[in-house]
Amino acid sequence: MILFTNEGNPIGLQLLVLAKYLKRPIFLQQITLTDAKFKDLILLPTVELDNGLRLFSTAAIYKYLLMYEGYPRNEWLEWGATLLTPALEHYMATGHRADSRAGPVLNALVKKLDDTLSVSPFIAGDKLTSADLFIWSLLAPDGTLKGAQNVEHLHSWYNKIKALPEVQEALKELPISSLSFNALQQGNRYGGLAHVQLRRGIS
Amino acid sequence: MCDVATVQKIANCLGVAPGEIQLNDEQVVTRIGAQNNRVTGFATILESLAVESKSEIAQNSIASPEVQAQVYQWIEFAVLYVGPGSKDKHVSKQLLADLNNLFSRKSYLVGHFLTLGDLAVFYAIGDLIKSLSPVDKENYLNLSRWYDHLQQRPDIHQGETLLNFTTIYLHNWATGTHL
Repeated sequence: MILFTNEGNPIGLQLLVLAKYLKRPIFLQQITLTDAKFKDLILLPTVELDNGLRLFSTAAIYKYLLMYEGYPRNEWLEWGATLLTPALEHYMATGHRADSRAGPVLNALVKKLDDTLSVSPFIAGDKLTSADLFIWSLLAPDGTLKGAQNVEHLHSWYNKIKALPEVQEALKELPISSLSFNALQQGNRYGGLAHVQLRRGIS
Repeated sequence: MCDVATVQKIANCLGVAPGEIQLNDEQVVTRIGAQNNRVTGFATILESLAVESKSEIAQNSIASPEVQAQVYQWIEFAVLYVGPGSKDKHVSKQLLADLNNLFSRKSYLVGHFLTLGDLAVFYAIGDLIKSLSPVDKENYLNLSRWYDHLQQRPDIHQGETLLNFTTIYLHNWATGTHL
């Protein structure tokens, strides 16, 4: 399969890690949406599967390639894509895009992860699932957990996932230091996910 | 439209009992269905509705793993881009252009049939389409055609007033340029 992504996009790591985990050959192609050749692509990253099908939703690709992992993995994928990703982009934004309201929202999400990992070794239960790879890749870039306190369970899980040989292999192609949430802005023509209003939990 | 109302509409559309639809402590839509089964997340709920439904739209949406994956990506697109982006001037303009371009090559988002992907985008874009002037609607002709086609179905409009896509009035002042 081919992974079309833009430089530095952390979502690209999500897909690279998955491909390594499934031992599928993947060709990483870093492109820009301003290139006329790619005018039909709406979002980056986009994956072109061996059967020619193109998908731009990482969660859809995870579900398609790992169909047997159903509930509760699916809910975690959606949670990661629709809550954690926008919160991280808001939180990691710099300059005029910086959003001070993002800290508390992200902290609540991170706390939920830590609470979950305090009762089970992996995000979706006793076994490693692709939800772990999906969420770990989002938290991989430097600084995502800089505001989080009392999250020992999350930290030990983070180190456990990072040590997986498949993850290490992916990091050789996309090192953590090359990733930045600012790159999401160039991942689509909508300016990233800045338009997504953060949902403030009640608890 | 809020997620709770949209899930209810889509459940009606599929002929499935929606169960109890509410927001959880993270403000995420949650469905408590039969046997107290709890499902969280807009896209995951729509998938659960499709599995329970015998309707044509549901069957179309799970026709194959490839279709299912594409349907899911459009539902997620509705959640992350169409819904929240509609309220932003810059994002909504790009969305209208992208969707209009997409519908110049196809009649539905996935395959050649109506799926939950279309429904999710349809309900998410309703307010934006409503705000368009007749001339805007002309500019986004392909998107307008898709929207109008969907809204005509009683199972989709569910009694709401239909938006006007008629272009006849334009003949009066721009006969020559009217396409």
